[in-house]
Amino acid sequence: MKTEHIDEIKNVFNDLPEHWLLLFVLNAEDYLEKNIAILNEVLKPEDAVGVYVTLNRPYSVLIKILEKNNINTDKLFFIDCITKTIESEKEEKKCIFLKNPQNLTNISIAIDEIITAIPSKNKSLFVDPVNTLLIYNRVETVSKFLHILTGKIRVLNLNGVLLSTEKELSPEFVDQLEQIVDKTVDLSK
Amino acid sequence: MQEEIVTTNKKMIEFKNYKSILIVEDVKTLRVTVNDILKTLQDKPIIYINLINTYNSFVSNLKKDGLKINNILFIDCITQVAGGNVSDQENVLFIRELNDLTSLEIAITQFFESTPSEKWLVLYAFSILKIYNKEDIVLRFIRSIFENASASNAKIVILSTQVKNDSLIKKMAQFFEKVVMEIE
Repeated sequence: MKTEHIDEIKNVFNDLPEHWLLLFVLNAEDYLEKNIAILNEVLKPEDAVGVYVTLNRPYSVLIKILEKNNINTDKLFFIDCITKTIESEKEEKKCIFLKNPQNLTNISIAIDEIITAIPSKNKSLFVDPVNTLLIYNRVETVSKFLHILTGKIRVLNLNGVLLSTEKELSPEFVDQLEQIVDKTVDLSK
Repeated sequence: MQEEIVTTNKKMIEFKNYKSILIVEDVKTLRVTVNDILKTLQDKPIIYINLINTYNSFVSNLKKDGLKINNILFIDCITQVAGGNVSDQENVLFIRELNDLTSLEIAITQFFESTPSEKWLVLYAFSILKIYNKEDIVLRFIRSIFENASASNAKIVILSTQVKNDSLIKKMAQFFEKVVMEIE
């Protein structure tokens, strides 16, 4: 990962209001590295707790990667939208397994369920990555879902990080996405 | 930076001269412009339809900027949809569904009719309406706002971002007295 990107990620988190909603645009080559650097900043405050919605990596794989990279996974809860598309039964204490990323209502309910159960005032929602939702749903449906989800983030005084890869997104979708967040950070170049 | 400020100030002085203005800019500039417009109009009655922020975050941001909000009727299109608390408050109306443009239209008409003096409608960020409604429905809604505004002598500012070949913006532009398009 480029040094200027590490600095940029740090700078973004140094200059934020009390509650914030960020979109990070990443490229596939160093997606994971940047993802971890961002998550590290999100969880830096002592009272920070995160809800991690994983759309590409199964919980069992993700947790190992995060632990290997010294992310304090005690501060994280997970919503896994991928494992059950492959295996049927799955149970973990800190993770809700959803059938697939197609049922956006279920994702929303799972987020509500976890968020309301977390007592900390510093709660962040981390969606990795939003563009996977487009594989399973129509672009209009995803736009609506994200508009309502970001509304929920604001209403509940949460913080939000949406990750996206730079390719294969329609200009209209990108435009809508950029409008509903407070800031877009393009780390794809 | 200096050039940006000059451009914004010039824009603010100019836009008050028009009955209707459509401003199409990139997302970053648009956020600054809408705040500048609200500042410039803070002594006039405004119905402010914000399709992105909740009333609570709007109030805390504007108070931070030292802006008076007594003259603003805020139309909150997010809080209720996102399952937030919608207690009765004086300067805000909560819209339940963004595809319910009739409710939005009724709120606008009531505001226009109940405000005899110079009044403004500020709509930000227009393109979000397209997530919930078909293009022809949005176009009809805008036309209807114009008819109401004309009957009540109200002024209109609509702010939008634009993606390439945005047909709705092109079709809508003809309604406005002034179109400021600062991106290609």
